[in-house]
Amino acid sequence: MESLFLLIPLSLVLVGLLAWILRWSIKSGQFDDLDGPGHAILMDDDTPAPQKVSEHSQK
Amino acid sequence: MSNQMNEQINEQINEQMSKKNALVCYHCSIQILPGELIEAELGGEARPFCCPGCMAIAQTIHGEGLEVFYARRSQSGDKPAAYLASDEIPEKLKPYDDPSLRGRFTRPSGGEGDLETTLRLEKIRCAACVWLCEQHLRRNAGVKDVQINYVTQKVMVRFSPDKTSLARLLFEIERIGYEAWPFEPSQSLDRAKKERRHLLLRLGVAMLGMMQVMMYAWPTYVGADITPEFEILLGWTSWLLTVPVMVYSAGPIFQAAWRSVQSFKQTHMLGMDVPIALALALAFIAGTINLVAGVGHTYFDSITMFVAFILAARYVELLARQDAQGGAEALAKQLPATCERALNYPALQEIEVVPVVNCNPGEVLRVSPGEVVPADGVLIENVSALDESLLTGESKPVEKKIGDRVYAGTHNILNPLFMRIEAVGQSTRIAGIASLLDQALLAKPVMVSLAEKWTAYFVAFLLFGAFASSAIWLYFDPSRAWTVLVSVLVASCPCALSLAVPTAMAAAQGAVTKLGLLIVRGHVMEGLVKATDLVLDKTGTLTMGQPELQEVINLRGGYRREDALALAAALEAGQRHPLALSLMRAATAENLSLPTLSEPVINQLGKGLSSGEYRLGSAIWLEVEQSAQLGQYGQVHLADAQGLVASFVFLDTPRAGLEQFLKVVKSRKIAVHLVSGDDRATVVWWAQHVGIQHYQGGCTPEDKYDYIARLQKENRFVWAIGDGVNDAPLLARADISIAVGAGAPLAAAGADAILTASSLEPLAKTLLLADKTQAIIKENLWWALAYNLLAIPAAMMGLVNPWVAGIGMSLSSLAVTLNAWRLRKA
Repeated sequence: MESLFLLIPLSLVLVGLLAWILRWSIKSGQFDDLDGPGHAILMDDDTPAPQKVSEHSQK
Repeated sequence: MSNQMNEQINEQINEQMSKKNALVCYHCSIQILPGELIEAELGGEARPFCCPGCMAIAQTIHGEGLEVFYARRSQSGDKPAAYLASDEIPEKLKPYDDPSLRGRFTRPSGGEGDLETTLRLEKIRCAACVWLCEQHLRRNAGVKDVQINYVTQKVMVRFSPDKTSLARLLFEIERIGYEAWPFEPSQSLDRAKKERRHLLLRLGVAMLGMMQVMMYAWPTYVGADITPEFEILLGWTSWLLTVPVMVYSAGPIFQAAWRSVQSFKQTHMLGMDVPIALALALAFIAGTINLVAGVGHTYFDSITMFVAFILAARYVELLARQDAQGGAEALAKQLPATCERALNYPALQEIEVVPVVNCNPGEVLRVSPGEVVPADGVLIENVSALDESLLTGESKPVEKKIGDRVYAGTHNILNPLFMRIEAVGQSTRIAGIASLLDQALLAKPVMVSLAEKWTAYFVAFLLFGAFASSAIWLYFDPSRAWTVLVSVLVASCPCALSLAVPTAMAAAQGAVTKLGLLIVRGHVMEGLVKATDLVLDKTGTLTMGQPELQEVINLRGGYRREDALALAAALEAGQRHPLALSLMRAATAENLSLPTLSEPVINQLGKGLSSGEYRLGSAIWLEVEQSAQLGQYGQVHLADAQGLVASFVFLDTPRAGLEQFLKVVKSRKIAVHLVSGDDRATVVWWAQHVGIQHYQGGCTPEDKYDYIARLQKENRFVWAIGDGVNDAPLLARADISIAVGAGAPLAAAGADAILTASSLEPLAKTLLLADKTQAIIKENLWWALAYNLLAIPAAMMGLVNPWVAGIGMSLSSLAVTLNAWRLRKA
């Protein structure tokens, strides 16, 4: 039980750290657009060109 | 029998044939007319296009390897302008590189002389569109950085002015099939962003505090047997976490409460924040005293939870409110940024394209058909017709003679006209309406919401109960008076009470958004229940505001209806008059192929069109008799050398779902008023046609505003629906107002909610849902009250353990939330 004397102040430090991260992420605008990144990852132009796919499937 | 069968088979074959023949444009997906087909090879396949513009766009997109756009988009684009085929920046965009406009729309960024600008994208239909714009801009030389916001559809571009320019950027966006206009970042926008971020951070801190304090309170909830030194440790850590929640997160609540108390002498009203601040302060002080004394409950969990929930509700409300455009931004969108100025008029017909801000009264402007008049002025050359429906509510185009006034914001639809400027910018008629809108928003009666009233009563009752019982205890046993005061204050579960309204509102708003109604200001659902009068605008609200071909009459023998229609449509091709567009729509809907006219079409100004022996136009010009029919939008007649061939009758169509909507409204004993800027006869006809008793025609925006003000003076609770610029002050003044989404941006700026669906049916459903929401809010409040009436006396008599109170509190909150959840299904 004595470990609580260490763990509880530690949890306070953790909460402080979380609040700081939250502040940083809000200030850098990460919460301004919550829809965009979700779409952006779907729309990334990393899909292979269609003709390459057909060549591959013919082999 | 066999004949019939043959006919059927023939029909089927015909259908298949037409499907095969119907080539669809690769970019804009419209059917390609046989003579207009262009083919181009893209990505190893021949693709059909309807026009050089579409081909240019598709080539640009493919050329940059962005063709995945065509697979991912959910809706196809509009037909673009023809000038996109060339790589030249069009004249109308060039003025953006003029120092006066560039200075307004760009700001220096970074040390290398880079400029930064914010553009607002138009014609965006899906996420794929936004992605395409971003990728295309990034591939341009000189563009350093692109940041795009999917929600607000704004792009921030940082570019080097040596390699590219503002006009070039705007043109590049047009080249892939969209439009953009530079956006003047105002201080209010900056402030809105700051406000949003601050509230979010306050909410985050309160949430973190709530979670952590509840964790420390867990041993008390479950009644764990812990030693006193740990209890003190947990208590003080909770206190440490509650302080930032009280000071930082709840700070604005205390400030608002203090302001409300200070201004009590003038207003004789205490704001909602006063009881909240009082409860928070009392609970915190009591908790701290208990902590120091080492006896009793500390209440820190209740405090943090209460603050977190209140801030969450406020954050949701703030987001919705900020989504609505401000009046100034809407006004900017309504007027063009550039215009065509005639130099040395009338000696020379030389035209230069200049920013509207650089124009002065006295100068002469040319306005082409299809363009928006940029300033107020007087028509000096070429009679024309102007669509003033957004400004005045007048449904038909207004014929303008030399010397007539023309107003900024109206559409020129007939001939290229010349006008002399009398007023630009802030002194125009439309800017006047915008400022009336701002006044109206200030004059709007403040609705005291049901929840606020209940909470005020509840808190008053609670404070009275707490102080009364502690006074009684002071008389019998002074040592317990303080404990009782605090236990009464806190055993009353503020959570269920604070959750009762926001949860129901959030669930109901989610449901109506799915129906097609976007709620901007929070009180709409509550206001709908209270409404006693509904004020409707006619053009664009009650009706669609555009004529539809109703029937073809006076058809001469030997002509089929389709032939006459096709002939008329061929004559009207390329015209922008609403009746012309309507004829074209009717011809397209019936899949008619238009005949080629042997002679060019001549536009007989103010009368009609002619091509060889064919003439299409007004009854007076063609010298035919027109059977007058009230409520009609108009008639157009087609004649050749032998006389009348056919007459086309047009009718403004009522908006879909109108009948059902009015039925629901009337069943609730809401008086319906029709107030329109259109002429009296048409308004009377429509009012009788759809069954509305109160009506007034020929109204100016000021008349409409007064109409509402008069109703409000009679203590009526007014609900207004409108769409035009002329409705903006009315919408802003009404107790609750809904703007039709397809209407003017300025109308949406004054409204409490925006109808995004084209039918009125969602409103009928919303009304029913509003009833249900109100019922559920009442249930929730009754539940919270009943729980408190049981819990408080029990707590007073010391019958409730802390953990029983904790479970009771959680169950109570859960019941309220689940009850509200039922609204989502509607």
